[in-house]
Amino acid sequence: MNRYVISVLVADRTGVLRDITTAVADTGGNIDGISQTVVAGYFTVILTATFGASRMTCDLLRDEIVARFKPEEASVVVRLHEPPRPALHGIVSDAYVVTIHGTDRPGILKQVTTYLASRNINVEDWYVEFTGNQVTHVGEITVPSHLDIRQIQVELSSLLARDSLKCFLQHADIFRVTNEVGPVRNILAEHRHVGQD
Amino acid sequence: MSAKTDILHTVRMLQEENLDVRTVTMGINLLACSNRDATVAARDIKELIRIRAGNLVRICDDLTTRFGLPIVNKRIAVSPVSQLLEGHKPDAAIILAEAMDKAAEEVRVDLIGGFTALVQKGMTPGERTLIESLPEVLSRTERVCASVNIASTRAGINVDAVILLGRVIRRIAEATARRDGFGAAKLVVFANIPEDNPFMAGAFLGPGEPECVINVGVSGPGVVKRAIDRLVAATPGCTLHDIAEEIKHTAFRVTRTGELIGREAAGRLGVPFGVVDLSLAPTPRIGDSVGEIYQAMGIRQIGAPGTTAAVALVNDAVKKGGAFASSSVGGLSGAFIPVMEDHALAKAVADGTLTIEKLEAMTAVCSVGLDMILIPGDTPHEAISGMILDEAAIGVVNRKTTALRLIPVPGKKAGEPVSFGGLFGSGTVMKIGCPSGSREFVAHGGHIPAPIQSLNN
Repeated sequence: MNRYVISVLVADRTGVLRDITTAVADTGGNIDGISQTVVAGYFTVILTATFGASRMTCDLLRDEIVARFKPEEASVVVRLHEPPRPALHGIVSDAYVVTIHGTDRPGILKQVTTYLASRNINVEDWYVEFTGNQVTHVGEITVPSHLDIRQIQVELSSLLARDSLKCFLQHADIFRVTNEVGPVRNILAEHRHVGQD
Repeated sequence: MSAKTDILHTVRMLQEENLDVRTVTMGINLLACSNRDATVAARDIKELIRIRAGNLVRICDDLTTRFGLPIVNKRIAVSPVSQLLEGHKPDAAIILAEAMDKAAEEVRVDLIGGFTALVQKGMTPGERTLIESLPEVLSRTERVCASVNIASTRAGINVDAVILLGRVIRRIAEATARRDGFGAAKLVVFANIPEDNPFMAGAFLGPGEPECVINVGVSGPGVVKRAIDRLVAATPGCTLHDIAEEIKHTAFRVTRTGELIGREAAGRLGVPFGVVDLSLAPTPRIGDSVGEIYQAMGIRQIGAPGTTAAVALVNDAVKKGGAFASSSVGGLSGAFIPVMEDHALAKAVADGTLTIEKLEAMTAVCSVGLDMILIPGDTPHEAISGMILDEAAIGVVNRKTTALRLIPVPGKKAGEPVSFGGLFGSGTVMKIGCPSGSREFVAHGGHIPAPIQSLNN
C-alpha cells in the first residue's frame, strides 16, 4: 500500500476539485487528507491519497491528473509520502499568532520569516489581506517554550517599526476563547505542546 | 485555529477598543490572623498577604505579555476585618488597617478591600468599632477600601446602622477635607453585598468563599460602544433588539478573556479560580465610557426620558452574554454608572441633564447604585442616611445589589467642580432635593422588616 502527496496549481474555475478527485478515485486511490485555497484567482490544493495493491507510481498518477486538464492548464506535483518529523520535534512549544499591519512594501514577509527562522520559530500558517496600500499579515506560529516571549515581541516590533509597521504577538488561546463556544477550561486543557514526544 | 476574521476581530478589540482585564483580585481569608494582641495580628496579616500575594503582580504581568491583554489593576480582598476586631479597643482598627496598607504596598497592589462589616440584621461590638474607625482609617491609609452591608432581601434594612453611617460618611469627608473628601470614595455602603465581587472599593472575601481565591473583573465599555457604532453604521434601521443582540455577543467575547486570565492566574498561583465579573466599568478616558454606550444607542442627552430603559437593555444583554460565556460568572456583572469615573456621565451632570433622581431610577436596573456621587459638604447626615435607605429599598425589594459611594465635599456647594484625578476622575457637586425633609422618618431608627419577597422557601 502506497501513500502519495499531490499538489495542483491551476487558474480557478468550476469543477477543478471534481477533476482532481475523479482522477484519483478512478485509479483506485482513497483521499485521506486535503487542504485547498484560492489566492488571487489561483486554485491550489494539497492532498494525500492511499492506493492499495495497484501498480500506481508518481509519474502515472501525475499523468492521470494532468489528463483531466487542458494542455498547460495545471501544474501538478506528485511525491511518495514519507511521514515527516514535526518541525520542532522534541521541543516543547506553544502556539502564538503574529499580526502585522501597516503600509505594504516589498520584503516584509522575508524580513519577518528570516527573523522567525533565526529563533527556530516555525510558521504553521500565514495569510495576507490588502486594503488599498495597507496590508495585514496574520501568521500562526509555533514558538519553542524556552524562548522569552517578551524578548521576541520587542525584537519583532523594533524590526518592523523602522517601516512604521505595527506588530503584535499573542498566545493563540486568546483567540480561541474569544471565538469558540466550548468551555474555557477545556480549551486550556488542550494545550498542545507541539513537537513533544 | 480561528478564522482570519475572528483573529482580526480580537486584535481590534485589544488594540483599538480598550479591551482589558480591569482587575485580578486575590481573595485571602485573614481569620487565621485573629489574636488578642492587635500588633501580633497585624504582623500575621502582613506575613500572610506577603506569602499569598507576593507573586500576584509578577504573574499578572507575565500573562499580559503572553496574551497581549492588559491587566490594569491587581488587588486583594480580605475576609471582613470586623471579625478580627471583636474584643478589641478602637485603636486596634487603626493598627490592622495600617498593616493592610503596608502589606498592599509591599506586594505592589494598588488597593486592598475587606475593611468590611456585615450588619444587615444587627451589629456586633467589633463591627461598630470598624464603622466608627472609618474616618481615621480612610484618612491615614492610601490603599485600604471599606464596605458595609446594611441590608439584604432576607434580613431587611438595619436603619440604626444607616443612621450611624450617615454621620460617619460626613466625618470621613471632613477628615479628608484637604483632598475634597476623597476618603469617602473608598467606602461603599451595600444592600445585598456580593461575596465574590472583585471590583473596588467594595471587594471583600465573603464567608462562603475559599481560603484563597482568584476573582477577575473584566470591563470593555469601549468594545461595546464600538460594536454598537458598527451595527448602527452598517444597519441604519436596526432595532433595539438588534442592539441587544450585538451587546450580548460582545459581552460573550469580553467575559471569555476574563475567564482565561483568571484560570491561568489561579493555576500559576496554586489557588482556586472563583468568578469572572463582567461589569461595564468605565474609566475617565475618552472611549472607555458607559455613558458613550447610551449615546451610541441614541440617548444624545444622558438623563433624557428613555435613559433608564437604555441602562436596563445594556445591563440585561451584558448578563446574558456573560452567562453563556462562562459558568463561573459572579460578582456584580452588569453596567456600572460611577458618575465621576465616566466622562460622559460627569458631563451630563455638569450640563444638568442627569439628576440624582434620574440616577436613582437608573440604579433600579443597573448592577450597582449611586456610585461616585459628589454632594454638598453641608448635606445633613439624615439626608445621607435617607439616600442610603432609598437605595437599600430598591435593592432589597428587587432582590439585587445596590450600593452607594457618596462624597460630601467639605466647603463645596451644588454646581462646583471637583477633581480627584486618575481613575477616580472628576465631576460636579450634585444638588440634593429637600435635604431636611425626611429627618423625622430617618430618626425613627430600628429596622425595616424584610420584604415579602424574602419568604421564598
